Amino acid sequence: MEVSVADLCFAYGRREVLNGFDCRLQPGKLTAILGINGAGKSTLLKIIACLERPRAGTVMLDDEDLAGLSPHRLARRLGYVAQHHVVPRLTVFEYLLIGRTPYRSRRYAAMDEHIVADVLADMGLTAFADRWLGELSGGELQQVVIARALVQRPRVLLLDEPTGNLDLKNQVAVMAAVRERARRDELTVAFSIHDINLAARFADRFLLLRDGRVLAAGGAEVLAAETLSRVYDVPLTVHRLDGRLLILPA
Amino acid sequence: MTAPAGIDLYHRRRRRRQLWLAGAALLLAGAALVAMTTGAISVSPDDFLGLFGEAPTGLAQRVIWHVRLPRVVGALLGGTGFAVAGMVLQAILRNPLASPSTLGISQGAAFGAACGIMLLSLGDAAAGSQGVQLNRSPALVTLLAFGCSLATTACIVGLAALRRAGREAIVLAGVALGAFFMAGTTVIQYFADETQLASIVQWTFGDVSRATWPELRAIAVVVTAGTGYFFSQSLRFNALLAGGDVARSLGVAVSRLRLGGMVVAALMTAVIVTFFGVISFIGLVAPHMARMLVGEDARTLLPLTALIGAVLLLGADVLGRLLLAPVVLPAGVVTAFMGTPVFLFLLFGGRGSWR
Repeated sequence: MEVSVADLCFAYGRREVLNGFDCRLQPGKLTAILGINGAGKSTLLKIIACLERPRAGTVMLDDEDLAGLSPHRLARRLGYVAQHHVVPRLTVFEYLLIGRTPYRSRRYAAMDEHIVADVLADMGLTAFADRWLGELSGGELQQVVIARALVQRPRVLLLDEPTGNLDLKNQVAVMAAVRERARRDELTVAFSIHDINLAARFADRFLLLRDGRVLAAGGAEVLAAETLSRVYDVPLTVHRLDGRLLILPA
Repeated sequence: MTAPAGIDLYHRRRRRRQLWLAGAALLLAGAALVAMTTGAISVSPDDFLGLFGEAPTGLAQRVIWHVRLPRVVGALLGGTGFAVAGMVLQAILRNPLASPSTLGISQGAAFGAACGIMLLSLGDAAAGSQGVQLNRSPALVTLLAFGCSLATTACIVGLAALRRAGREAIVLAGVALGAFFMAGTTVIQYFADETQLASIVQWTFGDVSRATWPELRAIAVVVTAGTGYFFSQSLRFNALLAGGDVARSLGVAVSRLRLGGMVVAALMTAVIVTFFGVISFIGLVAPHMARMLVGEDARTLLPLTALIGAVLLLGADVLGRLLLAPVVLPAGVVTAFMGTPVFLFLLFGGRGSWR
């Protein structure tokens, strides 16, 4: 499912966050949204998830206008993982069942339990099924939260800083898990991230934001030293090491 | 074919939770039996059986029908209502300190009721009637109690909607609102005559023996309908546990759920407080106890909270009758005494209920 954003404008009060914004997110691909704090990364994800209403512009899922979709229909197409997680006193299995809310109003069906069990097995989390969320490590919790979004059976997955506060091992594990699902299920994935090198390692496409506008968008070719230096307001150098990009402060 | 490992574990835990529910239901039945048989006049099982036959004639049967049974039913309904309202407020505000009494909703209702009592007796005085019966027209008292508790709720909802108001700020605002309404009630008391004063002061001694059968029916309708509504929204409340944004991304109309929950919780509180007076701590303590036992899945948390609330209020009422017998302490006084140590235990000594 392709997401296309056109002429998007958004402001918090008088502060403009996004201004005349256009972008496309492609199925089966991971799009990294890069920019400094306040560049509009999280806001963009929230607008696509219909959690914020833009002043102007449209967001289309294939040929459906997002604004015309009912919340339930939207939730069956689109999963959102917030930057900060509330950790209720639930077991992992119960927490994942929450992901079936768009499909149920009164009670979960046996099918929902099977979908949860499938996602748990798929993510290698079955051993955690009966654990309390509060007992999980940061990396485990992040995987569980992403699993909850996958239980929605979405076509589009939006992740707000999925690797923030994780150690290196867990950053790689989370990104690898997301990329695997994106490839296999043709998921359209967009995520905001601060670690440019991790983004360069896992993302297929990049959206570079500066002051609420798209400074550059495209494949790895947009990660040029000059562009990145403008995005981050700090001189950066781009190196190639065994065919991979390495971005360092100058 | 056996179920996948995850499902198996989940079902086992669900069964354990159902055992907790069954245990709490048994405890409640036991407490109700003790409550029915405890008091100045002893009653035998035969007297209970006699109730199902012809109209109650003997003293014991009249005691059961007119004194004990309404009291037990009142404690069941009141305990359930306060506990469920507390649980819902805690879920909506994501604040473990939220409850009808800590958010000032109970005090608001009591203030409204005090205004109602004054207005009613003013009307009676104008009509030149003597010996004011203040509970004769509870509709106005209920209406004012409900109006004031709703106004308190509106303030809390408004504050909760403010982006900058943190969880602590909301509870502190509730404490301030509660103090404000207490001050208002005090002013009314200051200007009240002896009869009015006695009636108003009764409010501060929440007592489950106060309601008559028709009033209990009204409470039963509101508490049952409210609890049923919340139970029907269990999956949505579960989604809300993951946070407001996540719940919205799951298709839940969060604002409507929060507003509806607050209004229904306020209605339940207002009706109970109107007929029983202020009974604190049940709404705070019962959800905590239930949460420690079964977690926050609303499908089991809600019924267990309701059962625990009923057991606590029933227990408080029995204790009130036994502690200083033959003097009968109102249940509201006992819950206030009982609630403090229980809450402090949950806070500092429990198995990490506090997060």
